Amino acid sequence: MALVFSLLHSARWRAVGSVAAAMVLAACGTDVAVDPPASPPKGIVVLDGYIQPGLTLLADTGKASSRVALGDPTTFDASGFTMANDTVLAVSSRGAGDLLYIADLRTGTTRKIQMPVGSNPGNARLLKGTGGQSLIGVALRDSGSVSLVSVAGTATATSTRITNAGICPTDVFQYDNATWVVDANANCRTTYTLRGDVRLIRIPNTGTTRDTIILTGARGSGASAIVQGGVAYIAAGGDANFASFPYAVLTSGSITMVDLAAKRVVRQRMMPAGSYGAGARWGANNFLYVSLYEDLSNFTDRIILLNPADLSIITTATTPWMTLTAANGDPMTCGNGVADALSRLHCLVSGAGSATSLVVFNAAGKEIRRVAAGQGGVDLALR
Amino acid sequence: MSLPLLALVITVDSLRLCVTDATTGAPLLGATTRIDSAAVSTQSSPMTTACGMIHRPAAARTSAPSRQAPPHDLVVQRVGYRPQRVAWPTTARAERETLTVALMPVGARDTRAVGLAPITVRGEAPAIARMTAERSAADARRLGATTTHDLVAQLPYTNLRSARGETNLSLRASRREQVVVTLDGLPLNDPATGVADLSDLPLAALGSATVTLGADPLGAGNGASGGVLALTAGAPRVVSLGVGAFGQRQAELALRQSMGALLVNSALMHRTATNDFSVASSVEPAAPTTRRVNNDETITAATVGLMASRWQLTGLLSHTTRGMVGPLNVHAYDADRSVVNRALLRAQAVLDGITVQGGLRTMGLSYRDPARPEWNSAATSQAADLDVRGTAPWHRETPTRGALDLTWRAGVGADALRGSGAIAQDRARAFVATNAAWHRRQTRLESGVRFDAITQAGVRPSLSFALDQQWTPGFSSSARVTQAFRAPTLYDLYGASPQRLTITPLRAERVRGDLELASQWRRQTALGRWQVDAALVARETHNAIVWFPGNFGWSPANVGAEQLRGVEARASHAHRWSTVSAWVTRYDAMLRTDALRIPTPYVPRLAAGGEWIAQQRTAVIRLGARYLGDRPYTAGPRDAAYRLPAVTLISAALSHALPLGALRRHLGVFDDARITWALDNATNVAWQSVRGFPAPGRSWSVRITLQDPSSP
Repeated sequence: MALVFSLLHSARWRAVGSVAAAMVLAACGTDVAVDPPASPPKGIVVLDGYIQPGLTLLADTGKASSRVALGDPTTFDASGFTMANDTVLAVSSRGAGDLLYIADLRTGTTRKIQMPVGSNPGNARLLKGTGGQSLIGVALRDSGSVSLVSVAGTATATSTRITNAGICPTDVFQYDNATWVVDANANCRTTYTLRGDVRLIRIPNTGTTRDTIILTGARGSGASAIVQGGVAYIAAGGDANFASFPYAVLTSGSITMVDLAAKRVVRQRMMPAGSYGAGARWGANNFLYVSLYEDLSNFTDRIILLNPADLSIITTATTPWMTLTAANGDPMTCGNGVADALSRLHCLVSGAGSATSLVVFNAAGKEIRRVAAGQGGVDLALR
Repeated sequence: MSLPLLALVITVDSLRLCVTDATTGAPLLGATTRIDSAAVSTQSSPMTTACGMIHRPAAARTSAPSRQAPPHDLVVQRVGYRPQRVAWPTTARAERETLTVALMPVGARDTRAVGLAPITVRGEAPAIARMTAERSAADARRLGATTTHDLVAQLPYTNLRSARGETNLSLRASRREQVVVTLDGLPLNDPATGVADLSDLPLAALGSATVTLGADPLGAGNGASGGVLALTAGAPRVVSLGVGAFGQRQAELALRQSMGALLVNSALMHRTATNDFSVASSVEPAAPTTRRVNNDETITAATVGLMASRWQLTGLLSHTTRGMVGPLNVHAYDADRSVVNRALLRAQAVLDGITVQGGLRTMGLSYRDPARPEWNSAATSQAADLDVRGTAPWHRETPTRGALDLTWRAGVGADALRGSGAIAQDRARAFVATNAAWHRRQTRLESGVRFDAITQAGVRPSLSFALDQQWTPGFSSSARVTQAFRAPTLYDLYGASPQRLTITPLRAERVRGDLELASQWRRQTALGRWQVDAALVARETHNAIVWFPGNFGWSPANVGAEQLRGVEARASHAHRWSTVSAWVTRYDAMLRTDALRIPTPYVPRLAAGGEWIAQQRTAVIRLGARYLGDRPYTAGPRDAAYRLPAVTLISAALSHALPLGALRRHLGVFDDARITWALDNATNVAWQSVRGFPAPGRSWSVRITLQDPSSP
């Protein structure tokens, strides 16, 4: 633990993450700049995904919170969101109306935009717009396409489609004048059974030549991307058999590091054997935090800390996951975690009645804050 | 001097007898009468209606009572009820009046209904009052009802919910699974979900519906935390054809025939509807309105009943197909279909004063998704019940010690569930209960206890205590405190199975106390009959079973304590051709678990309703109104963003007798023909009883009904 503590508080190590791509790709390892003094987050955003879908907004201190309502449970089933410039994007699947939700955290307003019926949106991400318009990319799993939604003020949104964007596109981002699609390569129209390894598809904004990068070994119907500079970290949740008891893990989750410029896989980290899931978040301290279940028997939430430079697990010697202790010293677990620039881990804990608490741990993994954060919390981000 | 004495012994030869359930006031058909005297004992065939003329047999007339011989006794009995012996009326005045005999169910709680028609004769002393309301199916039909849903919706205090055509009921701020629905005493709740669906019960097969608010641990047992809806089978002879808005078509037929000592009932119902009404859309850039699709339903149901003086058999078969319409704006289910088949068999017999009742229920649900057949699924739940009940008079009433009656009941049962996804749940049940009722002058006291043993729920004792005081002939007060419990349903057990999740085993939900302080006031004046009922209620439920998202999907959990505080009131006035009534409930139902305060979903703080009924010789008009305050629709803290807005619904119905003329003699037993026009949601309010599933706007129906004229 002391090793983790020292690593997370090392300016050099914090800098490592921010220039990870350069280090990996250029392998120079010299002249690393020192970050400015780390500051606490402006606030914490928690997505309440189940009971009263909405966003719970918290400050870095205190117990006060505010809410932004998103919708009712029949038309909201997102288990995650993306955030940029205080704009939150989330989507509802075909079972909840094929909707794109846009929430402005500054004004507390929400828009609900209809995606093509039956398209089964998987994720939405803010892209670079033009002409004062915001451009939102929405991966449409059941139509194998990506919708590019243009939004300007309160005017009616318009959209265009990129078709033939994979078997089951689950995420989308832009890099180098191209739209990149994460294809889960699964039968998302029916049972979400996997057809093969996750793929990354590059669709240039001009021209017709597309590139497909197969992420060998990465499997999962819920793949997503984190892009830092010219590197994409593709998280794939793994594969399991839920058809009979006991549930069986077929393939654990994975994080695959892709050099976007070179269009090649650099490195891949499989999650520990027997574990399931891989929800990756980029910490403000420039480390990767991966949330998963330790196994499919107890469904214990765990968080694994990865060095983004080489995807090595930063841990104590005994377990691959972060060791967390409650304020009273008892061991505790936590799901959906991400760290701020001070390397304080913020994560969600569910209690009776699905009451959600935001628990903050110091870099040593000791609980230093616990505050109510709505109900049915499924994802969080730091502002 | 001799004239008065002669008047006392003048015995009428025929009279109109009505038989009702003493606990609910519901009319009972199938009763038999026996006239006992020193000379003769003659027994009738089962009555084909709840009310009818009975005649003294000639043999009895020849043994007319005298000053030396006591008058004849009229014994009224029906399977499942305690026989009642009353004196055959001996005044000519009786010929112009109705003799009403209220029969007490064997082994049931000794309670009486509030707010029912005046009762001329009771076989027993007044029972402890409950907050209850009853309506016969025949009356409901005349007042515009076309379905069992409509019948229950006409009753006060009811909160009905429907998403995809099903009808679920909430009483006294309960969740749906906290209400027990019975048909002639047999529970209709699905052991898989704990919820009873009324939508496939043909109105033509029903005699009456009675709602009783509050826990009923002794009578209904497991699950009756919020109240009981008691349906009785046996409608009058009916042929009814109707059409309505949104493609509604319905035909009903009910027949009844006395065959010697056997009364045979049968009913058949077929109903279709497209339910393709328009609703507003709230999503951009969709059209302002959208039409519901795949919202159709087709229901075919049949019932048969055989009743003799000492046994009764009831069977129900229903087949329902529905489009599985999605929530508003969700089109993923636009092609999905469901089929529900239900079969029910109930038998009851009286053996040496002990009533034996058995029932078998099976319900199969099949779900088909043509676009994704991999998601097709099916489930079948089954339940078997057998119970015996009896009564043991402790001693006769004396002026100083009063009277004490002891009733007892015991039973066994089993539930099973099989479904796609390797769902397999079974459990066994057993119970024993006893109830002691004491009364002296105008005071009644009751106390009972019931022990239920259910697999995985353990042994659950429930106590009940009630006190009733009649202050004046028109004013009484009662206090009642009971306990109750609700065992996890089979789906609860599946969802919480340790096979899937290592969690704390699910325990039974426990009503630690259900308190009701009630008063009833009635008065008959020259201006009509007045009646007011009011109650203060409180309920404490521990370990409430609620489904919440867990760490992997939704699962049930025992969460905190659920507290109810409320007021219920009802007033009515009847005068000549007009009856007006109104009711109101004010509830504060809150689940408390750690830091969360969660109001019970879909329970309005304030609800009210009222109706005005005007009846002339040939026409009946009903104007109804119902107000539902805003209702939270999630299992989350009270938040204005997650509640359904308050709504007021207006309905109207006109029923008019048809001039049959010469046609009357060709109709035989169906010589009461009428046409009924009904308008629901007359002001075309957009509303939802279940979030995401809009209810129809203004809708109409018209129906022609031929009916047995002797129906109550």
